[in-house]
Amino acid sequence: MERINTPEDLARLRERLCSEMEIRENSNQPDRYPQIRISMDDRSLAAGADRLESCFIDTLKERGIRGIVTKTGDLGHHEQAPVVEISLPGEPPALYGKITPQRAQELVERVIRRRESVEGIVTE
Amino acid sequence: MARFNNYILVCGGTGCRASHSEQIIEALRKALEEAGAADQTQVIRTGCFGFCEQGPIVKMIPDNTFYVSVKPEDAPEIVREHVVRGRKVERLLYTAPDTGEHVPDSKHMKFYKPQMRIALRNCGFIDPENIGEYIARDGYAALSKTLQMKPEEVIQQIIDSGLRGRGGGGFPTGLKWQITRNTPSERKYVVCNADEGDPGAFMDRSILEGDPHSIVEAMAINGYCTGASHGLVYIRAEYPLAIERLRKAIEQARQYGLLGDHILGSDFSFDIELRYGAGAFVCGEETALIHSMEGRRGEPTVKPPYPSESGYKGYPTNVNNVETYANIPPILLNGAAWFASIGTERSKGTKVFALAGKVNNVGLIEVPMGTTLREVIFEIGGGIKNGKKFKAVQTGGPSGGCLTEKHLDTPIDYDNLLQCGSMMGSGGMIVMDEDDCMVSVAKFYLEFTVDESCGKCTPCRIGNKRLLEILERITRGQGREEDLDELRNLSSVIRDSSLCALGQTAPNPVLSTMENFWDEYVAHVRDHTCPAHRCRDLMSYVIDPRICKGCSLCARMCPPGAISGIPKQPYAIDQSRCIKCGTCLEKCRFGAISIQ
Amino acid sequence: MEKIRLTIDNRPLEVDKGTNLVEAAATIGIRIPTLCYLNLHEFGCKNDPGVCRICVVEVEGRKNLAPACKTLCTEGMVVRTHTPRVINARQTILELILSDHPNECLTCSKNGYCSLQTMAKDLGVREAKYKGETTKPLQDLSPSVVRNMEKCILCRRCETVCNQMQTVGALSVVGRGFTSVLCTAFNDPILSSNCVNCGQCVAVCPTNALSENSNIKEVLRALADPTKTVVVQTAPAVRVALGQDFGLEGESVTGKMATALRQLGFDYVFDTDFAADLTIMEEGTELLGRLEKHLAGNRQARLPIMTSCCPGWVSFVEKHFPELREYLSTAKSPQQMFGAIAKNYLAPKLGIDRRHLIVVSVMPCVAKKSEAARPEFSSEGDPDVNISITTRELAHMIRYANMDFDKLPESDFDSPLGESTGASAIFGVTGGVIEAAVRTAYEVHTGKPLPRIDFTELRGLEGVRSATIDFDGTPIRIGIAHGLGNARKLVEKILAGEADYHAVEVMACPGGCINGGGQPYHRGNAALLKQRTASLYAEDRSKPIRKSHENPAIRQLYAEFLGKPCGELSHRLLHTHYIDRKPVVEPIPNKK
Repeated sequence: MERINTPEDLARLRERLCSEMEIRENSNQPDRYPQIRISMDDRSLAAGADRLESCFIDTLKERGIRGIVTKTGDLGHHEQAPVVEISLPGEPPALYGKITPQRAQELVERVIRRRESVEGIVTE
Repeated sequence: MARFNNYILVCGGTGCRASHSEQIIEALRKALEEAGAADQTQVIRTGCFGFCEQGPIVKMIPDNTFYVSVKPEDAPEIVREHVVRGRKVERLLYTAPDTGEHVPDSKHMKFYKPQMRIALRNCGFIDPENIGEYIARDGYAALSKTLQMKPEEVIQQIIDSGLRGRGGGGFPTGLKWQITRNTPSERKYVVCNADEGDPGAFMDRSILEGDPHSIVEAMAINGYCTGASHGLVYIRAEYPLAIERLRKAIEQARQYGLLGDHILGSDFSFDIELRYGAGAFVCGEETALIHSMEGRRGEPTVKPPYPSESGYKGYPTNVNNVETYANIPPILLNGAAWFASIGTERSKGTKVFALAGKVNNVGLIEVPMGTTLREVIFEIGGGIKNGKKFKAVQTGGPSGGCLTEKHLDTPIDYDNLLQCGSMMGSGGMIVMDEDDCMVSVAKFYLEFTVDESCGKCTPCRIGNKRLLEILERITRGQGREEDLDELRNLSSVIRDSSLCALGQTAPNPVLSTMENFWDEYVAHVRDHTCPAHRCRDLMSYVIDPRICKGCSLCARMCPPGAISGIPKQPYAIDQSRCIKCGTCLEKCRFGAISIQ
Repeated sequence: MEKIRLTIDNRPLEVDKGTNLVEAAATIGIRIPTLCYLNLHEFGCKNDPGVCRICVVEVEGRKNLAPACKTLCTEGMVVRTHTPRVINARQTILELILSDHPNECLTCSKNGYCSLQTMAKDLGVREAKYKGETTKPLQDLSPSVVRNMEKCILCRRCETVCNQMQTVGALSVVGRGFTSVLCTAFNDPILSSNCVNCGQCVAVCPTNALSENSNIKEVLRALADPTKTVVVQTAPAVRVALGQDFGLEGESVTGKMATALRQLGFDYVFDTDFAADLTIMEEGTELLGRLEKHLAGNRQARLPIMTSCCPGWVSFVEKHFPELREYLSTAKSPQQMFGAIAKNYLAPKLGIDRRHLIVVSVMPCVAKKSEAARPEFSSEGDPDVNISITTRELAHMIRYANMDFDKLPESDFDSPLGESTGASAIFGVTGGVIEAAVRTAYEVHTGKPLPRIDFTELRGLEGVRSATIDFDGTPIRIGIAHGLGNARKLVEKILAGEADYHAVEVMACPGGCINGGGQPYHRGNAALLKQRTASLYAEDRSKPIRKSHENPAIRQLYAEFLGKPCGELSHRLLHTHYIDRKPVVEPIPNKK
């Protein structure tokens, strides 16, 4: 319990605590931020999908990008497991397959930050 | 601090607590431990989500999945399926009343879409017992900003915002602060009126339980502006959880130096004391509240003098409602213009309502002023339960009146509601359907006010009592046509001459229901019937001899044995023994029994 | 003083800032009806809770009706006091009050004097149409005060008077809403509460909720008993108030009173004033005794000496400040001294047993009933004063006896207990007792004649007063209080060591006995009380002898019977002691 002695102290404390609220804040305005959904079907899980949640969250944080990362039920395309869906605000969602931690970082950088078109899973 | 990937927010408001939300939290934590997910998922007890009828509420972050009517036994499944496997537990999702379908998350709920949560901004979002979460969401930033401005500047902001008292009075808040500031005195007080007495109202309770720091901060701002270094919260003793949360918040604020001497290094010192009510609705009236705090009988006194000039122990005292206070920090952070851009011309900002009665979605809502009643009842409220027909909506609690079908498109604001014969009040909104008897409704409210009257002035003490006695006679079938004139005359004299607002507004439900449902009153006094079939003494259960098959089931089920007959021949009900329980009507397989 | 101009009923007027509408209207002859409002101005008695709502008026620009007693005049205000809307409201409110009031005017002891009754008459209420639940009967008897709370209209006057003015705190509103009652703590009988019987609650009650315990029947019985000799004594303040019921408001009607009493059948008509002179002899001597001890350097001397003729004040000391009872003068009150002399001197002189002598006193006071009943004022079960009745009760009796009071001829009191001085007359006014005492004490102490007879510095209406009288070189400091709230202030000053008085006079009733609990009702008319006061001072001035020690009848009594003031016989008959009567509150047993 540190005593806050000046307005600057308060601002600094807020800065520090703010980041811990970020996930909740982002979730409050889902249409505003990129959303990353990780498929938790059996194949994806077997291929290590459960580590991807932390991976994406950390990557976004390192790069200072705000986004919403959730696990989801089953996105299909099991042969491409682990499968991940990314929707940018105002755009239709896109699926990406065979996601590894490296690929995760690449997607964050290219799709989310640079808004590049990256080859994903094409759905008919 | 550990970094969590996701959160489970569980409602810790009084309503959900009573339905074991604390046990849900425990069960969730245990299930997370067992699943090895406890360091990735945090369970947080928050304040009220507002969706009270279907509580306990559990909300998953970040996908906003909204689980309703959750039981502690559901915890393992939620963890197993949703946390670990990302699969929503369908059976716990909210079902939309109009489509009958599950709604995937709160962002798609009609209940939430039209709402704008300013006073309730932190309720259902943060842990109210964690000052850190409040600070993270700009908590105490408004106080910090205020301390670097001149009090007159801050007051001007509040005036420009157009904020009006949310306790029911609707007096311009900034103006009240200014008057207190301009009254010279070596000592002043600011008071928070947390006595919320309207039956069924829990707006203030939810704010105090879900976001107590907002009140602490706003009171400190008030103290700075008006020149007071003492704050008092008068909170009803029937709110133990709110008291606990507020106490903890004050304690934390003190430890952080946000209450006490030289706040944030300035010359301003301020602290808050709690005072408890003792079960009197009348102590929500500001002068009665002040007298109660002084240790005297909680009775109102004639105004003027107003508390801003002479209040607690004779000092200038600024009394504000909880919800009014909750609006202060956002106004100062986002600017007066922002607040004034919401709402109608003379009623700015939003209002929290406790929506109750015969609607599908009963709970706590916050909407911009100007939202229509139709939107509130049929969109947010999800329409009338069980497909019944809307009859009336009562606003303003025991001081208000009924609005009917023809008022549904009225934009809600202080002046419009007054013009329609009701008032905003503190935010209670009770929806009634075709099965509600409006005379009984008026009687119900009057029972409340007669019980709560302090007894000081003649018109309220004796007048409201006599008014109630007339209504009691009417609902017992002993009414006469002259009674209606008497109700009117007595009501108008009570309104005109009572000492305080309790007495003055007590006849409102009577006058308003008489105005809008005159036929119902006439039916009661002239025909001695109750069209809505609610007043027992005005109802008779009758067996239609043409339909009755003489099966004798009703006679066997009748508790006082009031039905008799010969098997295979029509049976009859002895009216003098009938207790109007309705069992016979329920049980008859042939529909031979009806109410007249 | 800033002036405010306004209009009431289309008539313009100008008043001082801070005036309420009731008082403002009264200045131009408009009497807005009131029930709970009471303002005795300088007498320190004010009740304005604004609760009866009878005084509501229309004020232009105000949505609802305004209570005139609580609404201060503002510049340009336009007021209407009797529009149809106002009259309807007043009548309805009165009907509501009547709907919760027993309908027994004809048999009520306040018949003809009740403010509610008068209001119903003035407002023309013809129907009691609201029938419903009524307040349950609640009766409480005590020797002085009788409570009938089903007749209470919750005007709060008694509560204000008991708590704010008298600071006794025996009565308060308890409960809430329709079931609220004005009663004692835990609804205990008033006898076991901290009530001191001052009777101010009775004096201000507009209905018969609070009244005196009537003893008229006992008096009539005594008068009809051929085996009894009935004597009567009348207090100083009675003679300037008795005439109120007979068109002689505020005037001194001593002569007619004596005639009336004889007509009623009293065997001897005596005067309490005689006993007041006697009290001065005893108390004055006691004062000088303590004073001389003190001046000689004796630290044990109990100063200030405090007067003891007012039983309300004596009860106040015994119940609220029992630690001070040693400071009270041991002299009995004039009523009791009279009784003692009547039973022990007059009865033998008349050749009758004291039990066959009935002593009746007429007092402006209800506390005197309790005082007369004190066990220490009886001898073997026979009280020194058998019956004490109030001025009001005497007025009733005069009417029973079919007398046209104002047409009665004057007559004198009987001897030997009827002769009195001007000093005794002013006992009925605040400051009067101590002035009478000073007139005697000065001459006895200094051995010199008084430089002046009137000590106007001891007179007046200020609640707590003090003056220093020069006893030929010795400054004697005197403190005076009237109204028990002021008495409390004075006592607290003394206890805090902030006041160094030699003598203190206290009257429980504001203004003194002229405003006693047994007097004809003042109904808020302060001028009436001032008139009574003026009449007593006039009586003092009119008397040939104005110093108690010069009363020849008193001298005769000492020579023939008592011996000397504070002597052995005087001490036995004319002095008393006081008891710690602080009400004990049983502690609530601890719940385990």
